[in-house]
Amino acid sequence: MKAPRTFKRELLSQLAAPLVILVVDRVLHQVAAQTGAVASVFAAGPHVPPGKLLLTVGFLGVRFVVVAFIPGFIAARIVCAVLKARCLWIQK
Amino acid sequence: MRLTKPVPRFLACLLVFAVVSSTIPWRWSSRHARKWYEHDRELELALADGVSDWIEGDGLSRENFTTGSDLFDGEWLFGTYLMAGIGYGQLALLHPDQKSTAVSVMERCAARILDDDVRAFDSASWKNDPIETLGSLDDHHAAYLGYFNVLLGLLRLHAPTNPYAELHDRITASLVRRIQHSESMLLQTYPAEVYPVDNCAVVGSIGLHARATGADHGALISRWVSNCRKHYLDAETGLLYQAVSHPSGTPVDFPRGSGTALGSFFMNFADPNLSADLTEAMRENLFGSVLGFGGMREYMPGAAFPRVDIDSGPILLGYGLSATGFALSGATTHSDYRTFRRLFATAWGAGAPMRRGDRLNFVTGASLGDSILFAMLTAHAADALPQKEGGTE
Repeated sequence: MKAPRTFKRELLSQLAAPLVILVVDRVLHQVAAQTGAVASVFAAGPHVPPGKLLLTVGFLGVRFVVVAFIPGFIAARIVCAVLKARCLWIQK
Repeated sequence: MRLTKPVPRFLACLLVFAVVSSTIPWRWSSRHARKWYEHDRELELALADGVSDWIEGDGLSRENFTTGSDLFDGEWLFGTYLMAGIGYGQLALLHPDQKSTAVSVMERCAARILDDDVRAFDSASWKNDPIETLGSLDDHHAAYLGYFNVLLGLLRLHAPTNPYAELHDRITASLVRRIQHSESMLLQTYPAEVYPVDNCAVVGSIGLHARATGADHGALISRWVSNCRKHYLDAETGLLYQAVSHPSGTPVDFPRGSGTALGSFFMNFADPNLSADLTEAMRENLFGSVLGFGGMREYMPGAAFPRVDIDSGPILLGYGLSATGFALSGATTHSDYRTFRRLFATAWGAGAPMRRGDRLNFVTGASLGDSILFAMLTAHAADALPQKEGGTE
């Protein structure tokens, strides 16, 4: 029978995905700031070259996920880790 | 229910996700909203430094803008210097010790706006030069002259005898003559293209001229506002039509968020009541929120064939990024902190702010976005604007 994970290991496993997204967001942040690869959101529209528009929309999409959903995602993952690890207070 | 079993555990996590997502993120994104609303000195100077970084030194050229359209590249180059200068003008009204820096930056912006490469977008469209044709009654150049004249008006408030004072008088006199000569009281942005929002800048600039010089433009402004209320505001919603035909002034586009919000910003310099009414119309008809993040719709719900264009910027779930950014100014100038906080949460979240030393920039705004947000966030109530005796109120 597989041994149950410790709470610490379970927590790290649950938080891996949101942390990766956060790191990707920070890297994109830096790259966009240094290179000017994204178009100004005030000027983005159908006239913008497709590659640049894709980068802009992609960057905005990642921002949207990070800003709006990562806190909830992290909270849900922590709760999940607590429940999965069968903490003592749940067991009782 | 055993929460350690898979299905109940999943449902518990989903509940936590939903509750946290709808309560925490927008509050986190708006954590600096109160400081911006109250014009926190440190934050505003940081953004000023970020904007200054774009326009000082070698500055910007058309090559910095790759919108895919020569006209739009030129418009945004012009718009960046314009909004940067306006932001500095407002900053110095809020923090008077910044006056000498602000005047210097504003003069630099005015000089660049007069450079051939910056005014080329307008002269190419009109096939004549906006400054050389100030004596004409037919070549209106409404956007170039109207927006530029707002900057010159703010500069005049701080430095009455600046090198552009005489040009400021000439442009204002020309705009006044053209409005008086126009049947619709509207000026064309480009030949046969008429946008009420650009005319709000024209009239706002005339109001600023009155404030700065004491000239009496009260009767003209009053007549223009009355005409605008009658013909260029949607009767049902009070929103500003985005475009009208020339010369009749018949609406040819929807009443829209981006034009109404920017129109409110400019009208605050000439007629704060119309500005307040435009802001209120937006709040009533276009404001909404998703997970607490506030936004302004670009179009009324149900508008036939709404389109994304250079004015609207990207539209997400019906909310326009331009309309949302521009609306920050109306919420500030007309004391609506509740709306401001929600809009700010979106601007801060989507703008991807980045502090580098003392500077603040918005990654997704780039030079244009930084300048626009600088101008919108430093906007303040009309009663805080200086008024030279004899001018219109």
